[in-house]
Amino acid sequence: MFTLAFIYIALAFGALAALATMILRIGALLGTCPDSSQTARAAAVIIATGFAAIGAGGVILIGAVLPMLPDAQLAGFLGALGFAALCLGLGFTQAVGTLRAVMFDARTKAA
Amino acid sequence: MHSMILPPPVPYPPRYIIDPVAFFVALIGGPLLFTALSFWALFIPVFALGLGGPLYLVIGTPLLLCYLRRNDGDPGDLAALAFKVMVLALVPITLLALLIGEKEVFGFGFAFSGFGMIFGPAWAYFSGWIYQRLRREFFAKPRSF
Repeated sequence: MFTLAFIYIALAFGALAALATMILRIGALLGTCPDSSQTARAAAVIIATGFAAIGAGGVILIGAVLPMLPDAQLAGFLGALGFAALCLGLGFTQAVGTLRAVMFDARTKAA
Repeated sequence: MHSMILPPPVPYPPRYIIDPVAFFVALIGGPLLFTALSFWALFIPVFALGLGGPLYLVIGTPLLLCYLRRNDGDPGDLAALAFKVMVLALVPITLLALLIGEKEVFGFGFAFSGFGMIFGPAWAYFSGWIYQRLRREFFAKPRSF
């Protein structure tokens, strides 16, 4: 029980940290362009913070289901981990989409 | 500038981005609002919230995250989507019942999804109603980028 819970926390928060880092790195990559570097970096930090906060909340809430399934531990563990990964991935798509929208609006405004 | 993030201008379908705050408030608030408005009906909506709420969150969250990226969250559209999903849910239930060979599974699943066909669209309608009112202007326009 505790082992599975620990593995769940490690994997889910590891994925969350990796994805949040990726948002920051994408922001840093976009920030190499001198025209929009300020916009990109500020937006990436804000979006990564929001993603990390919402993602942590989601991971903890999904993890709260684990103790409710003492009879089907492995199924609960895999289900919770899969659902968490699915939602984190979709959230990451939205986060990068927001970053792109910010850049898109900045470019449209500049043009 | 061409990159993974800013691709060259090719025909690309317009996409919405989801307002996260409005999304989660609407996702959880929609069913609660509907239940608060309709609990007088023999308390059936309250039981429905307890029984179907977790399933609604598990299926609804990823589905709405995908759907709202491609569509404006019109309450009527979301209700239609919820109804379609509940009708489609009969397929795996029927397959499972055939696979196990138990009629109870089908009966239980049919009753469950039957109630879902009433409450799912209602919850989704109120979710869309809340979402469209809460989301900020930045998230309300589609961009083809």
